[in-house]
Amino acid sequence: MTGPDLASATAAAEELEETAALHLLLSGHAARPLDADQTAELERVFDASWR
Amino acid sequence: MAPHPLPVPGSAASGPTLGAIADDVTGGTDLASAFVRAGLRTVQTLGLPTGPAAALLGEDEVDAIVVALKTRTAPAPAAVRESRAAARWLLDAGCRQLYEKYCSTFDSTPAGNIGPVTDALLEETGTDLTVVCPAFPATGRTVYRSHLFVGDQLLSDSGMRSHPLTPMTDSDLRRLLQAQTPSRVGSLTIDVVRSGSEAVRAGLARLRADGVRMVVVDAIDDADLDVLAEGTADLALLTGGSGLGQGLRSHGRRAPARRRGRRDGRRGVRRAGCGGAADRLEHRPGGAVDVRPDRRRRPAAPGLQVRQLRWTGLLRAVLADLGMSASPRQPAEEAVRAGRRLAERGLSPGTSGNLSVRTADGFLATPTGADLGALDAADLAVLDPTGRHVAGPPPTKETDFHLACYRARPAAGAVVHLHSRSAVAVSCLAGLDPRSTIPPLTPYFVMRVGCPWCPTTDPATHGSDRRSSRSPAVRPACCWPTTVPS
Repeated sequence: MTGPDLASATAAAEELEETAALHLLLSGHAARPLDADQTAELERVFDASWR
Repeated sequence: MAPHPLPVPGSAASGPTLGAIADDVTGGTDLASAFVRAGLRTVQTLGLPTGPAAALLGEDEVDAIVVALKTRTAPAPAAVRESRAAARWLLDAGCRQLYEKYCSTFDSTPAGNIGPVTDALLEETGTDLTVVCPAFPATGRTVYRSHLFVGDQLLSDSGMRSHPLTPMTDSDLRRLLQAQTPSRVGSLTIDVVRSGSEAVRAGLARLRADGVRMVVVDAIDDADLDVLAEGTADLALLTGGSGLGQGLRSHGRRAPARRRGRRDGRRGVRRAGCGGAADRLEHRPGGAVDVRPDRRRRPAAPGLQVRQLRWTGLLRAVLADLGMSASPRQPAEEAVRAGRRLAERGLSPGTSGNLSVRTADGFLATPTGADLGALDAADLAVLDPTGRHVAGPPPTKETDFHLACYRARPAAGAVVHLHSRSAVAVSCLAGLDPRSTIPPLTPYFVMRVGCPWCPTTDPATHGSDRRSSRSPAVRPACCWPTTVPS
C-alpha cells in the first residue's frame, strides 16, 4: 500500500486485509459487489480511484 | 545601482529584519534551524500567512521569519507568483534582507524555477545583484569553480543524476542557472573567497560593474560560508541552501539593520501593488512555529534539527490544511508506531512485513529481517533521495519495490508492504483478475484503498512503465500473485 503518509498507508493496508478476508468469506456465496455506476459515483463524490 | 550601505549594527528597533522564502517545508525548517544556530530568533510559517506579520507575531520579538512555500517542483510562473507574494509580505513586515532558500543539490532542470524566482526577487528587493550559494559542507555539498559536488562526486555523477523529479545531469551551476534566466550569471571563485570578506565585496562590485546579476560563489567549508555571509551582508537578496544561513552567525549580527528612508518609500508602492495577490492568497493557511535559539544543543544532522522546533497545535492544524501529515511526530517515530500497530493486528507474521517513509533527505526503511513489532527509531535504514543506502542497518530486501512505488506515485509519502494472511490467501486464488484482485465489496474499500491490482512482471522492474497514467503501477494498492517473487 502507498499513501500520502504512513498513517494513511497503514490504515489502507488494514482495510485491504479486511476486505481480502471478506472476499474469502464470501467464496462460494453469490456476492453482490458494487456495480460500475456505484463505483463511478464514489470516484466522483469522494475522489476515489477505482479502475 | 550602487552597492547598499553596510548595515549599522544595533540601529534597529525590534522586529524581523531577515526574511526567508523557502521552496518547501522541510527546506524551510532546515533554514530556520540554521538561523537559530546562528543566534537569530526565528519564526517559521507554513504557507503565506493571510494577515500582516504584526498579527502573527503579537508581542514576540523576532529577528527572522521563514515563509515555507511548496514551490520546489512547481512550474516557474506559479513559483514566481507565490515567491513574489511572500517577498512583499516579508518586506511589509519590515525585513531588510531576503533569503531565497532552495535545495543544496540545487534540484533543478533547464525548465526549473530557481532562475525565474531569483529574477523576481531581485526586482522585489529593488536590487541588481545576488549570490547563488547552494554549498552546505556539513552535508557534503560543496562548490568549487562553480561546480557542485555531493561528497566526493560531481552532482551529475551522484545519485541525484537519477532523481525522479529533478534529475541533475549537469554540475556547472553557471550553465544550469543561465539556462533558466536572461540575467547574466557570473562566478566568484574560491581564491577570492579565501582572501576574505573585503575581497568578496570587491569581487562582487567588479561583477556588478560587468552587468552580472547572479554570482555563483564557491564554498568548500564552513569558514568559506562565514566569509561569504560577511561579504554579502549588504546585499538585499541572498540565495542558497541552509549553509549560508548558518554562516550568518559569523559576524555577530542579529540581522541586517534597517534602511528606513528607502524602505518606507517602497512600502506604499508594495501595499498598493499586492492587493490582488493578497486576495488570491486569502485561502492559504498560514501559521507560526516558534523556533528559539537553544545553544545547549550541538549542531545536529538534518533529520534531528526538526526536533528543535516547539511544535504547536496550530502547526498540526496548518499541516492538515495543507494536506500533509497532521502528525507532528518524526518519520522514524511514525515508522515505529505504524510497525507496532500492524504487528499487534497480526498483519505482519514473523519478519515478513516492511515499510518505508519519505523524509526531508530521502527515505527511511525498515531493516532487512526486522520484526515490525519491535522497530527502533534509531535503527532504521537511511536512504538518500535516489534510494541509495547511506546509513543505518541494511534496508529491507524489498527496497527496489518501495522505490518503484515512490517513482510511480510521486505524491506517496509512505509504502507499507505486508504478507497478511487474507491478502496472501487471495493472491493464491486461481483465475485472479489482474485489473482487480478483490471486487469492490464495500464503499469504504473503494474509497480508502482503491482498486488493487496484480502485477504480472518482476516487482523490481514494474515501475519502469510509470510514464503511462493507465499503468497499474500508479494505483495505490497491489496484491502480488504467488507466482511472482515478492
